[in-house]
Amino acid sequence: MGPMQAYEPDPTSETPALQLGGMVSTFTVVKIERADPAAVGVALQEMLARTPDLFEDAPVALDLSGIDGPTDRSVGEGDGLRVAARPSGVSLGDLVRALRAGGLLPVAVCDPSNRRRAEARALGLASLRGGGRRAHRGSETGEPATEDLSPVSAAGKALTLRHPVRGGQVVYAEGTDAVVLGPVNPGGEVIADGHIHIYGPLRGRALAGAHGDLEARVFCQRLEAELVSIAGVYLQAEQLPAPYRGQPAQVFLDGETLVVGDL
Amino acid sequence: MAKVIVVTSGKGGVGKTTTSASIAAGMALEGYKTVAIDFDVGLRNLDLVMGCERRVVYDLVSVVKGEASLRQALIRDKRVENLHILPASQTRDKEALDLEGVGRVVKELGTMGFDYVVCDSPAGIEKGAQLAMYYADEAIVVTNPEVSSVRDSDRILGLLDAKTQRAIEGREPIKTHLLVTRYSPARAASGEMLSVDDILELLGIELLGVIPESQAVLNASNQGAPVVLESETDAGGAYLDVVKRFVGEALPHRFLEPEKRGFFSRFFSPSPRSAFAG
Ligand SMILES: Nc1ncnc2c1ncn2[C@@H]1O[C@H](COP(=O)(O)OP(=O)(O)OP(=O)(O)O)[C@@H](O)[C@H]1O
Ligand SMILES: [Mg+2]
Repeated sequence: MGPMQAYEPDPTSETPALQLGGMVSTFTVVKIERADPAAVGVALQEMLARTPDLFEDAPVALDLSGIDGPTDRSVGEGDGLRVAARPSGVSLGDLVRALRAGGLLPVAVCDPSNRRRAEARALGLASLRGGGRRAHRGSETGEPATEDLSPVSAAGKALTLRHPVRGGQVVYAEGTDAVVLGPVNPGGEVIADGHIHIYGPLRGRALAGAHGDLEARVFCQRLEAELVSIAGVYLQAEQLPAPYRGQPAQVFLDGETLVVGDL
Repeated sequence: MAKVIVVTSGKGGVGKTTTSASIAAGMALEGYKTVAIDFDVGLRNLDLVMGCERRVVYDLVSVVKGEASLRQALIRDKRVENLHILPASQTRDKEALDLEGVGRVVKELGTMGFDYVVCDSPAGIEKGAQLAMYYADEAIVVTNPEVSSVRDSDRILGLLDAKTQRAIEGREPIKTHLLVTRYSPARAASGEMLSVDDILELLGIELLGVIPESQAVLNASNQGAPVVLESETDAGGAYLDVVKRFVGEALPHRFLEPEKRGFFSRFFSPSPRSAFAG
């Protein structure tokens, strides 16, 4: 009961009714790829069926560039090129309802156009400048990174798996690294908010930095992946550089490019 | 306590029922009191392969539903002492089976003094297959030398690790054995089929045995006799080896490939080798 009392309103107290302080960070950025709330809902259901607790009540920011086209900022400033965003016909409200129905908590929109900004305000959503991982590129363009979107630090104890990750299995290391003492087989999937270490062949999928940690890496003793991803940037099997196929390798982000390197 | 063995594969038509019949009959030949249970409700195959289809009165579903006692439903094999069959129903709905009911049957078989309960799983990874594996202590994963079968076996191994009573109760995991069936060493050597080595590379479990592709299997099943009873045939002999290995005899593997000398030294070499580097 103790800590609860701190939140009880006390009209006679001298304490102000609210205080500013502290920062709560980290939203998963959900990129909407189709201007169709029903399709978004179905895709979400499929994702949730595979990884039920990955997104449970997760606060998310929406990236609408996939359906509205890029806003001027994401094209790059100072090069004189400004692309006016032409929002698709779909209403933000319908998209938000589809996401809520799927268990997500939309709280913000990344880089909204003026029209989307107005819609967001009406729905009680924040507008963020510098969407998702672009937040960190802000410093390169002389702009401070948006504090709101700093990545989760993977502080917890690593999730260690002593068994192979087999086809159809999905493992999620929430807020931490995943260590797999064995193979990740075709159709198997390891997701971690931090790094992924595989002491065996990676034949399935490995998604590190699942909540946006740009520093996350994937390490494996033999790269035969179906897909590797860091903070949402991914390479599929046929995109893996030939010299590293079947070899020990690590995968990391260099800017917005996924790089495969020696272990 | 009876030891419960599930024969499973994911992919259909790879030889689960053939294997269940021969493993059960072979165990009985070795002197163990054994029952084979057909979990493939709606299809009913095991009784045909074991040649007792005309003697089926009750089945697994009637026992689970309490319409018949286990003693009434069990069919005693006429050729092999110690061998019993609990058939599936051809007419009942798959949904008729439930976890508790199956659990009661397995437990009662234990109290009846059975040493081995061999569960012939339906194909797939859904409810039927999960029911068949739930109470298992050991699993024989039947795989054909083709990619789709091996991938399915991998999925089944994942389920065995996660969805069985042993896994859920946090007990010692199910012991898993690989049985490669319908194997043709010549076609593996020519690259038409996966080799045993390729299969082991992906699945990473212990090899229980290799059953060659054989006409003897078809002949036996047409006669309603488990092929293991014809132990002078290639497949019959291979199944008998498998049974003996299962109960602890150290027998060398056969039907791998005569010229494939280096197989064991390669497979058991301590350094991991790359499938692409060499
Ligand atoms: N070693 C073998 N050589 C030749 N034919 C075989 C061999 N093993 C099995 N078969 C044949 O393959 C077919 C399928 O075998 P079986 O019924 O045992 O498979 P199953 O896995 O039980 O199938 P289902 O998934 O439908 O239950 C049968 O016709 C059987 O005779
Ligand atoms: Mg069958």
